[in-house]
Amino acid sequence: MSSPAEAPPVPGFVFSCPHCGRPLDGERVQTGLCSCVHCQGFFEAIRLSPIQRPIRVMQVAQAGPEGATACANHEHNVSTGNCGRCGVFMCNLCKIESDGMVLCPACFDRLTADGTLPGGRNKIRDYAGITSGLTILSFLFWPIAIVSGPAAIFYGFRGLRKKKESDENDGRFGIWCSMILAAAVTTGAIFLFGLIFAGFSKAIK
Amino acid sequence: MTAPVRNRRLLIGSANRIGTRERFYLVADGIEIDEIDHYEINRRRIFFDEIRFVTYHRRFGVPFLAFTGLFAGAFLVATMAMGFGGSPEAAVFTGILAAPFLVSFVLRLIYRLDVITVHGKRIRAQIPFGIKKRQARQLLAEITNRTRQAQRKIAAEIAAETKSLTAAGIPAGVLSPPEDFAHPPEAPESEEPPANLPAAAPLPPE
Repeated sequence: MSSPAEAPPVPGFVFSCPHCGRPLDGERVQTGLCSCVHCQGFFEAIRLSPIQRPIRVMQVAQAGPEGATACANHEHNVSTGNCGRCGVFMCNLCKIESDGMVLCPACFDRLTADGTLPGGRNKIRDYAGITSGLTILSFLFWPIAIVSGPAAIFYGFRGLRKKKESDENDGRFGIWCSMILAAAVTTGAIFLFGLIFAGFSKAIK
Repeated sequence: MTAPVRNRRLLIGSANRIGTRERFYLVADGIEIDEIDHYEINRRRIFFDEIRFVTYHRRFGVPFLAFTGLFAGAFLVATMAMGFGGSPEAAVFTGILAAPFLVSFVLRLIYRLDVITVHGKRIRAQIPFGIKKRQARQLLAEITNRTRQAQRKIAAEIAAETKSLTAAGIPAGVLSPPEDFAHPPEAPESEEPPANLPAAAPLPPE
């Protein structure tokens, strides 16, 4: 059993205790049973060995005049390819591989900002949550169910499509249930409105 | 023509904490953490090749115990009060209300919460498991195996690349630029000319 000491104040990776979250010296954590020096909590640790892939960049001066096409952003670096979108020459420092495309930093930023690059997106709409929220709203305030019910069904279909696109295996049953309930509440609201309207017109006559 | 590889997202766990809801998915190259914030999902990723530690520990989960214990206690007190007060129907009703809280409290005390923590380069994912202990162990083995495979693959690729460069007569170390080569520090711009430059010659008369 190893007992890691308190982490030294150095930048970089700091292993934190899974119990209390306080920093520990990751260098002293070995595979096996460990205990935290702060909270005395026990945990099993499996130490792995991540490898930083080295970025190799050849300089124009090293490559010689024949093999030297300079990178558009780094004039001293030899380009090793073109951007898959704009075609600019780029070195290994500039190359960004995402979603099966090789892009330059500018195009990557642009596509990420547009939302067209799925790998660059970090904020996604929760369509399942919107569907269930609108369904609950329809139940609570049935007069607005004529609007919120169809909206719930619309967002439900979007959520199902999104789940199919990202090949997720969970949450479809919940979306279907919400959509069926939303449809039922909408039908009920239309029926009630019809009754009210019929009664009202009868009273006028 | 080969079929495109689909990035299947497999739900491996979820965590409902005070104020946050998280869902954890296993994908081809890592673990995705979906943090649900109202009607928006903030997605973060831990790639297998950057995982440094995977830990497994067991805890009670004090907020859960406090919540279920409080409600169970309150309903049990109400049940006893109703029972001794001569209204058995009301006592049965409050007893039924107390039962789920009491069962949850006792189950948590017996089984506790198993937590797998995946420590990435910048973030960590804590995946809790209530009563599915075997599933937790299987997931721990799966994550560890996939991580080792990914890290071995990268090591092999780097070794092969270094070997090919060495065979071509290019020392691998030479190709890596110094740290300040990629982004050299910019010289400070000043409007005033340096003092050691000779003064500009006066323009000849027209």
